[in-house]
Amino acid sequence: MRGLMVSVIASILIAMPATASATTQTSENCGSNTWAGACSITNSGGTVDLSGSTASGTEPDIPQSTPSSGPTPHAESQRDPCATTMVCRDMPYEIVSVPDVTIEDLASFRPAAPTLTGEPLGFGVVGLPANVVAAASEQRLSGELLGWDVAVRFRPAGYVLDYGDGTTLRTATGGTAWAATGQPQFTPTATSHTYRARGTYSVSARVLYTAAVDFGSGLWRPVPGYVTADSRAYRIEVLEARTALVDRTCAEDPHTAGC
Amino acid sequence: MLPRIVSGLVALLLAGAMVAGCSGRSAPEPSAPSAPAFGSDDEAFAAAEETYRAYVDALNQVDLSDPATFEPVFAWTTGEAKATEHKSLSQMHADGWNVSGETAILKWVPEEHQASALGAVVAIACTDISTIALVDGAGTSVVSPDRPDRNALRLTFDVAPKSATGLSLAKSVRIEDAACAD
Repeated sequence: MRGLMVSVIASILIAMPATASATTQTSENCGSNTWAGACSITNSGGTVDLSGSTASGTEPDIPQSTPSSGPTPHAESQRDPCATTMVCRDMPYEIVSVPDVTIEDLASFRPAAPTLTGEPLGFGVVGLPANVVAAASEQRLSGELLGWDVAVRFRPAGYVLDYGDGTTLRTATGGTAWAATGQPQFTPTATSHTYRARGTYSVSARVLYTAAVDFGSGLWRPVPGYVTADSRAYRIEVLEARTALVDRTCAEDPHTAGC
Repeated sequence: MLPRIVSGLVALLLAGAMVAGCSGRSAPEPSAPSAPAFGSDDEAFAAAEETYRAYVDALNQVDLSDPATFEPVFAWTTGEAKATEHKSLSQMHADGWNVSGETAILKWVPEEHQASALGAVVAIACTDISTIALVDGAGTSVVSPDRPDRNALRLTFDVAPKSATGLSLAKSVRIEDAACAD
């Protein structure tokens, strides 16, 4: 346990707007350790949570090229923090700042691959839109990062669809099924694709997840960049459509040639 | 013989015929993107309460001399809460301590459910641990004289597909709550 701890979020360059609140909650987790009396509330000001955000808003400008090391106090900033902050009076605290996290640090956290399907299932028609639908959802994983317990949240932010014929599409949506929207077959959709030639194509989808980390403060800190996950291939057989006059429909006579 | 009169002229798209007419395949139904874990807040909070009661039941079954009894506690927790239980229970086991009595849940207040995400459910619980006695190997109480009888806890639950309730206790932080005061 870190005991009396000030967790200073956002690289304590406290020239940025910061909120400070003396809370009455403990920084430790309370389970069977309460049996002996741990997890008492100390409302003496001994526990203070500080949080701040960068001036740019919710996306801290963390340079990706900066190598991350373990927790490093950032109390030495270019400016005298005492000039702008209230935390520099007699501080009976240990200042610990959570580490800056880059997208590469999240390599051990793997969000799920997107699902990929299409309509008509496994088939397409030359010159008509074939619908492709990729789906991914938000995920939360917990584990250890740079020596800290951390929760990592992945949210799908975009998709890259490779239709297998040299065409790719970057899209914010994974698409929707005709069946789900009540549209007739071969209606163009945001993610449909019209093939120009017969053949079998292997379609794949890559989802781009934005990531955020929470080191236990309850504050989600965005990590710049994307984590990607690839779907399994979806094979689509593209056929040519020819109009023909027939005596009866396949439904009426399933044994007729071509049915 | 006159050719039979064609009763109907039907233009069929080949693929359309294969898919809709002959092969008998139906249109695919892709799973909806970003489906929330629970249909409603009530469902989420009910699952969270069930999870917490199961966790407290597991705590009440703990025999500090038998680490096998710790497993159900670990099974209902994740992340920080799990790490705390690992550390706390194994330390008490190593120290040869013995626990008796039970944790009781006095109050349960749903607080927050992020319906848009597969994310956390937050609730406040008030627990009573006044009957719990903790002694060392010599039989001497190791309970701090400052131990409160009641704890108001802000509980955070994460989605856990393997859990019977769909949730695991991720965090349990003591807060000040007058309604839960001794």
